[in-house]
Amino acid sequence: MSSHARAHDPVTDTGDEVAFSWTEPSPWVRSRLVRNFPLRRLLPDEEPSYVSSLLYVMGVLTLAALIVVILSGVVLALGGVQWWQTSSVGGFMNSVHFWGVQLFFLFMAVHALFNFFIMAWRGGRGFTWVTGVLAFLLAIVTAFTGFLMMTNWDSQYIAQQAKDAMISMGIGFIWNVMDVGQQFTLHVVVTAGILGFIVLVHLGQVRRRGVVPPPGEEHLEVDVTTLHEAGQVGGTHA
Amino acid sequence: MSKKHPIREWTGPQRKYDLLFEGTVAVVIIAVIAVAASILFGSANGGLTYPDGPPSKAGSAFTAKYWANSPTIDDQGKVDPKGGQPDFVATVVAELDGSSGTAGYGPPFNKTSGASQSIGKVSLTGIANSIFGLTQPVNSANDFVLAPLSQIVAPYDPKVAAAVQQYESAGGSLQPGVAADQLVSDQQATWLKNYTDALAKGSVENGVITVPDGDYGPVATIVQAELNIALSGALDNYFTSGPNQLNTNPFKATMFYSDGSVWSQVAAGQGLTGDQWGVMNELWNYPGQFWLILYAIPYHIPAIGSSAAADLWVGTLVVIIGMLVQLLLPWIPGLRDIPRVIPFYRVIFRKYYAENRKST
Repeated sequence: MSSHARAHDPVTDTGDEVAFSWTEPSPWVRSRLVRNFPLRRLLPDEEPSYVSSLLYVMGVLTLAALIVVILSGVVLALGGVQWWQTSSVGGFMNSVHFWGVQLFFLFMAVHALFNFFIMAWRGGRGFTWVTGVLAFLLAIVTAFTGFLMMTNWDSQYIAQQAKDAMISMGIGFIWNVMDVGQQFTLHVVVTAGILGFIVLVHLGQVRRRGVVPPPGEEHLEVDVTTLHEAGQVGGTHA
Repeated sequence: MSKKHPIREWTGPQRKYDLLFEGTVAVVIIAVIAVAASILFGSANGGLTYPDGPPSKAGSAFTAKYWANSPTIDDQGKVDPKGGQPDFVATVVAELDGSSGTAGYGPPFNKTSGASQSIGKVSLTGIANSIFGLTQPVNSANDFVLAPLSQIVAPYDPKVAAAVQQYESAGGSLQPGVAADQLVSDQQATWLKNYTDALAKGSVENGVITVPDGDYGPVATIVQAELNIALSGALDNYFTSGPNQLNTNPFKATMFYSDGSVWSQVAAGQGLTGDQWGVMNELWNYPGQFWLILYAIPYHIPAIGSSAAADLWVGTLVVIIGMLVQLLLPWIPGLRDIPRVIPFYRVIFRKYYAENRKST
């Protein structure tokens, strides 16, 4: 099958060379999405055989913890801003949320160290690393705003201490960590929302690029066009 | 000829794998662990209770009422069981005469100069101040003392109403955000100085301030009234409600409470202060924000921790090391090569290498 034959896909109505247009950007966006995020990569049936260590599960566990945190957070949001102080059910959900966050950061730390030691940025995966670090930094900000909105002494003291750092960096003029209402809105809308978006981009990058091969085995990763031209559509058995 | 395709395929050996199955199992496992930990350990909500301090209910916030009923502990660890009220009274005087932490903070709270942190001549606070101005203006004398008394006590107590009136008409700016030296006139400064000296000879006990006769103007009446509303809890209600709306921004209360010494004493008793690694500690033995370790370490470097611009130094280091270096690590020679020097990956991939690379 030649590359020319793939220029127009009857199902997705996209091809290889779609020029960007300001007035009709949709075909370009569509072609980028279809080329970069094929479903067989997003939901694969197989992974390279070296993906067999428990360490490879850390990313999925981090994501799972995030899901538990979001679900418990939604329940807490339904309960209202002091529910966890006034009801035992609220207190319990607060605990689930708290331990979910602890697990989230724990698995994320192992995931990050693991990916550092296997140099997971190789083979054009630099942006995947960048989005992962961004997710880590945003998670810190999100957790921080969470600690600031507990409405108890702990959050009062953290806010009073943190204000000095925020003000010394100039950020404190807009972000007043002692303003509980601002921490609520930041936590449940802004920081959590951006974090969710970054995590989605990170996952998309991981699936798009695939799992990095062991050092020394990079040559076994081949441009998909080469496979097409050899009659071996990508993702076939070895 | 088409462009190089963005997708690359692994042509080596494969294994069966299902992302949705693995993800579902992971969510179940994490949910079970989180629920089990919640049942077994709960989460920290310890209130203010600390060694030598009065008990407080779980989840309590710091209040002026707790403050005035708390003991104080000096540097040698000596406990004064009735120290809270003198500490509160001294803080009220400091808010009036402009010597409190809040009054001397500078932007974004007030125009007090020279207090902002800077490295060399670079002050990010100064830059932000020139762009945004005072975004959270505070007048410690009015916001913390005179305004609450006017609202809570003056309508029912003509003596206090007269005292507040006399104090306010003796000069001293009531404008939000004025510099500390604008808070008092010479007359007010004299009254406050005389009163402070008298406090050293007098006593504060069971809610009653006793001082020898002297020239304090209305100050003695004002400070006594402020202590009364602290003990009744009315002052806390004032701070946590707003004159026009429901208040979700109690920052002035936090600023006022933290000007006293009981505030940091509670924190120290619970292991929360900076030199106790409080940046990442949670109350008691609960894990806290352990992920802030990068942020906590620089405070423990003596040259930084003791600097007047410690926060600015730490913030700068965190931006450089904690953010930029981490983000750009794949492109930084030396750092990105550490995994080749410490080839942990050989252990991780040992099975794969053994099966597939006979030469290594």
